[in-house]
Amino acid sequence: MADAITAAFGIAWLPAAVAVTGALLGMIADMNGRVRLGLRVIAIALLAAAALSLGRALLPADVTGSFVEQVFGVILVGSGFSGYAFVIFFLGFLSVGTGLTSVKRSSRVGVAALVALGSVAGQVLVGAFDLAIFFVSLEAIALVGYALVASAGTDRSDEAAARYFVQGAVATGLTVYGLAVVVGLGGGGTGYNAMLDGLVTLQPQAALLGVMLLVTAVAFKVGAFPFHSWAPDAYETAPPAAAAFMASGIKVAGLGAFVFLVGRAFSPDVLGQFDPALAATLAPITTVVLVISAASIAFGNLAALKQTSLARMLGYSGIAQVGYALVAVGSAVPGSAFFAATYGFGVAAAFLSIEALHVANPDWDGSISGLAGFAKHHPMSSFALAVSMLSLTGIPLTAGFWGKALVFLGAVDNGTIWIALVGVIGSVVSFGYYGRVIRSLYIDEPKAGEVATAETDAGVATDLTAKSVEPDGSGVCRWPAVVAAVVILAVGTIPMLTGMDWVSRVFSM
Amino acid sequence: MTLVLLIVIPILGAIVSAFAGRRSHTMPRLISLSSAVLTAGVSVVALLQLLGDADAIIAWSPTGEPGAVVFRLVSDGLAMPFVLLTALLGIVAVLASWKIEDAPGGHHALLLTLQAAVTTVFLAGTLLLFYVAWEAVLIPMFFLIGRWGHENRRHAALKFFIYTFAGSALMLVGLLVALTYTGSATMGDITRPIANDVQMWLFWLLAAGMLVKIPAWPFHTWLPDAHVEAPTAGSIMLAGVLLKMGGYGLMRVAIPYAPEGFKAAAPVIAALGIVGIVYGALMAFAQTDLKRLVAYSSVAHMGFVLVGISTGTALGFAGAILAMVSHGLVAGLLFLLVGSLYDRTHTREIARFGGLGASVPRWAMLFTFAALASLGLPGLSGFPGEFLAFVEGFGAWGWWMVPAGVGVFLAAVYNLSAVRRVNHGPLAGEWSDLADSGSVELVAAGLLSLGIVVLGIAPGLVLRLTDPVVGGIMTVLGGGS
Repeated sequence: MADAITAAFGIAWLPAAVAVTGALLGMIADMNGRVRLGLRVIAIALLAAAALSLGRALLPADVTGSFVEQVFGVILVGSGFSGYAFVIFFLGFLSVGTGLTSVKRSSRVGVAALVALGSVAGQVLVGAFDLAIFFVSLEAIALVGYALVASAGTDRSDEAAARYFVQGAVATGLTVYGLAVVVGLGGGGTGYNAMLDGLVTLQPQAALLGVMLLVTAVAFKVGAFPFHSWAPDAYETAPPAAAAFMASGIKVAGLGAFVFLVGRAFSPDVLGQFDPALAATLAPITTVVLVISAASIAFGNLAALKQTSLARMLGYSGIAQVGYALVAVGSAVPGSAFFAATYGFGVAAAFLSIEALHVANPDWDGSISGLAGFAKHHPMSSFALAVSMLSLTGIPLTAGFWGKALVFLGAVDNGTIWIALVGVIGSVVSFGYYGRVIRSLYIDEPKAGEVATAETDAGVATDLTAKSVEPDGSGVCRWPAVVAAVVILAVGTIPMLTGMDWVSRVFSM
Repeated sequence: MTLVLLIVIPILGAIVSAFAGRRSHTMPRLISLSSAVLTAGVSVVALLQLLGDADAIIAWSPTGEPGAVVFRLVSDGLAMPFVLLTALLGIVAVLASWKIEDAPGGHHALLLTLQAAVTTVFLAGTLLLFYVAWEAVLIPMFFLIGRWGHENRRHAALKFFIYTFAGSALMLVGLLVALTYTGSATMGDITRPIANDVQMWLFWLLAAGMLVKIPAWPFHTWLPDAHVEAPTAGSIMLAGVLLKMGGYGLMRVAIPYAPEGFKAAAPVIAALGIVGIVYGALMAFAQTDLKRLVAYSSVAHMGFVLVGISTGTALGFAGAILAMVSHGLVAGLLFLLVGSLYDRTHTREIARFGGLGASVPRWAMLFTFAALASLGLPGLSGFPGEFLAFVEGFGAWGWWMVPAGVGVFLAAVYNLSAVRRVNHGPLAGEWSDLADSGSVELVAAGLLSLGIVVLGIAPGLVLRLTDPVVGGIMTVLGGGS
């Protein structure tokens, strides 16, 4: 029996299969008009997928041998990525768990199914050990992102989704160019090892060009400066519950993909073992990524400072957070992937609480100042939002602190202390806007009689009212935000007592 | 085990108090007081353990072996005075907020959380725990200032957080560098010394967080705002123990990890200290707001701490430690008194007071006593520390210390003039039927006054604890040259 369980955990594709099955069953339920049942089925399937992934990450499962396992073994790698897949599936579960109340009733199950498919694409993406698989899953997950933004069904969200799509398409084009050089001019192999074999035979400049295109294009794809301008609109116009997955699960998968791509194929360590000459050729890539990182941190933080809308602020700050995930690029410390996961939980908790607060207060215009006094009436959602803000800033006792501490440690370890300094200064600036949210929630008094829309631009206000919460919208679930906040606090405190070993076990490559 | 109790008891008390606050208005303060007293009792036990220990060091970690996890607590002679100070001021802070009406459950819970976090800073046995606790202090303080503070609290809370966070974020990079170069996360485990050229900038990275916290001029601008806007208990903890984290951090982390960097930086530290002494005193003298006056006097007092540390001598360090402990008691007492006066009069405007000696004699007597302690009257706690720091500073920096001497004189001027303007002169009519200090306040003030007198007469009690550790730092400082 125990062997059977271990064996089940050992099957890499099982979580994906469970999630896809759940999505299909949910759609069938939806066809029969059973929206609530459909959502429940998909949520449970995602939870099961998350549990399977976590089990595989924590249990020493080296059961291989089945045909499928062998095939997947070539294009996907070991147990490490399943810890990461757990994060993605779990974030999807939390997003669907809210009941997606801010989405139109008719498309709720569809959105939930998209979240499930996006999680599956995310699992494949972070496990990819083959450029073709990497590229296909990266596109698949991006498509889910476009659809989630558009799921609000308003003109503004359509526009935001179209902008997101166009900018994503440009990044895709760059990626394809990179692939063409790396794979086409190289040996033609798409597996990472075959690709590296091919790169050695190339002219150094050609190899540098191809890899540079590939690496930077993927960085842009996940929203690094200067390919970022879709983010604020997309975050603001998407329904908060769908944004909870778009901003966390998809971002986590994309960042993880970047970190693992560099870590598995292009890090100085891997290249150094493979071929020192190639490592020297590709050395400038680290510098380029660090420059992108510094620019993202600087731009994202400064732009977020000016925002009055909470979701828009999260969009700009997301650009900065992408920068943090790139700070420790090429480091041996497993910080970047862990950071991305903590960011995912942080931003998910934020959007999940926004969903709960938004549904409970249809009059709230989505502005930060409009949060005044919410802590009294919505203690749990406010608590979750405050915790997420602390975690996104990187204050100790939250998961975000360990994420940032590990990436900065990686940067110091690499000898690039300047980027760590840029990062911490950015963190200080970021409390300027994250702290304002906490201050609004807990300290500011609501101004009686004030027109709610007075302090924000009219666009924000009309858009959120256009989203028109339906009568059954009162059934929003508040627990996903609280669960995310509890995870953040647990990950922030427990490692101090148990050591960080499990972190590297779950998030190693 | 005693060490972990010092942190667990306040945290448990905070949780219970937060929930009790929903049922009753008086339960939280009783719970809060009993956990503060219990913590103080445990810290006395810890002191006895330390005195009985052959190596004069006690440690605790969940796995039993050092270095394995972040959460490792260590107490030696240097940490112990500050732990005791925190425990004492914890009780005083609870008593100072005895009559709080607005959400007492949350207020007391935050006070206890703050106490737990500060104690963890002093007990931190690993570099990362030091940072975690250092930052964790900000969260309860942010809410205390923001939720229970005075008129300008919204601004003050955010400013306090961002200023100190800016310093400590640089310190985090410094700690990570120290961790990488020494290859050990355990506090003070410097088997692989850091290269001299690295130390030159590493010291400043580490010191950035501490200099903001102390606060050294010109990084002090958060202090007047935060102290003035904070509720009384918050001001007591802020001035009494939070500022001490800075001096403690310099001696515990920055100097041992970068002794050569410290030697190079010492003249600058001394200069900051001397400027702070004069500037703090002048600003205190110029204030019309009584609480702001006390706040600026902190800048001056902490200037002496910086001067003492900058000398790099055993006596200078001893002076700095004494000055810190003394300032904790004196500033705690002053903020307690100013806060209680504000509670009754709803003003801090010095010009509106006068002749309070006649209407509230007990309060006025305590205020005079605190002012005398603050100006450094021999026989009270302010004297030995600042005297040692001054004398050692003179030895190290010679005539550059003359401005600091002026600062000593100015301290007498602003303290005595405050006493004159508040206590003496004709009684302002509006305060003729003011209630005098009640029993709760007298107990709190009595505890602090006792400490001030004992420390003034027998400073050796503290020095006996700290001498071995300071000796160790001296070896590090001397060995490198």
